[in-house]
Amino acid sequence: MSAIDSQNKINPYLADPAVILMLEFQKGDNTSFEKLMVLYYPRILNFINRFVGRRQVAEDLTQEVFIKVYHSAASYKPQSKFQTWIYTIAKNISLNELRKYKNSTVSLDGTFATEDDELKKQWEDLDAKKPGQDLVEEEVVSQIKAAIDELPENQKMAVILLRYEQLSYDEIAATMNLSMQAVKSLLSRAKENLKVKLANLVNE
Amino acid sequence: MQCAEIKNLIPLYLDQVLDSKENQLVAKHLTTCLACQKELNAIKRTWNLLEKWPDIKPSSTYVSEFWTKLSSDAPWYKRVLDKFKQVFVKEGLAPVLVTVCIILVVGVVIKKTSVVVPESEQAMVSLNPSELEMIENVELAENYDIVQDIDFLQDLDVIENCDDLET
Repeated sequence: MSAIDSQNKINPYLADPAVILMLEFQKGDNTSFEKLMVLYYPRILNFINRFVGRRQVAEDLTQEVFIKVYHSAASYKPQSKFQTWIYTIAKNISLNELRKYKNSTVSLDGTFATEDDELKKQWEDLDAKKPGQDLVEEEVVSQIKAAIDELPENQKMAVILLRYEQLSYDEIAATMNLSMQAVKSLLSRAKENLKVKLANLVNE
Repeated sequence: MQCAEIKNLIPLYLDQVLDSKENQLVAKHLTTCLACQKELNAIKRTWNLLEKWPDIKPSSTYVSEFWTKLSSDAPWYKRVLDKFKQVFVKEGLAPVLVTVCIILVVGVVIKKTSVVVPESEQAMVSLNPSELEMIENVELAENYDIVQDIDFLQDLDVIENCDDLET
């Protein structure tokens, strides 16, 4: 058995196509990095946008995530799926931003400001506001955003990772550095909370 | 199992992450409990409702924006190095760079090892041995002339002999 075969057997993550791209980039192939960007940039952008709630900030933070990935290449070792690794970076950057933002502008109750105008400004999303879009639909989206945003930080992140990023419970546990049991508990409570917050839409 | 416990498990039941024993318990309970069935439907509908929040699309220039941001964030020496790499490595000019470097190094080595003979040494080559000896002892010769020219040294004998005259 060759050395590479035995290494593959030891490290299952070497079969992950994104890990392969990252290792190619580590050897100096910038096109592999651009392939990774094409694969993950839209996902990370949406994850951060849903988590921090501001499009422009999400754009900047997504760039920051990829700058971090770029600079981490030299020391990168595949110890998890690439997806888990990059979402962990995105999570940490988003949490830092959210805490910085809350410390500077938001009241002590730990949620975004509840004034309608302020909320609308925070959730400004040019893509979602298409001309002629049904106002009712827009209101539904606005309520969904508000309901998710009002969740405790961990529940909010777990919901976004599960519902919108399609991560498995295992992957969420790895990304959030929690046990499987803790993730189950988080998501169970989060779903119950959302059911209560969005009851008026569901029961219509 | 009570409804309260089942309700906690329903979200996980829907995601199929319960172990087989819990899964069977919830499934069995749901067949007979209308309240829990209602709870399951509400959670399922709420979860489905979340899909109405649409994705956003990144700008079409996000890759080039990334490279611009990366280079503007880097310190100046790194930017120069990157530019250097881009020109010489990416565009296949590395052999040219290596050749220029080799020429420079060889040039410096040759310059350092070549002996430069001063003009005075070149003139000495044309002298015969006696002339060379004279030049080597020129300082001594100069001193001899100076001693001869000093008058007070000639008077020294007179002064030394003064005591003899007095006696």
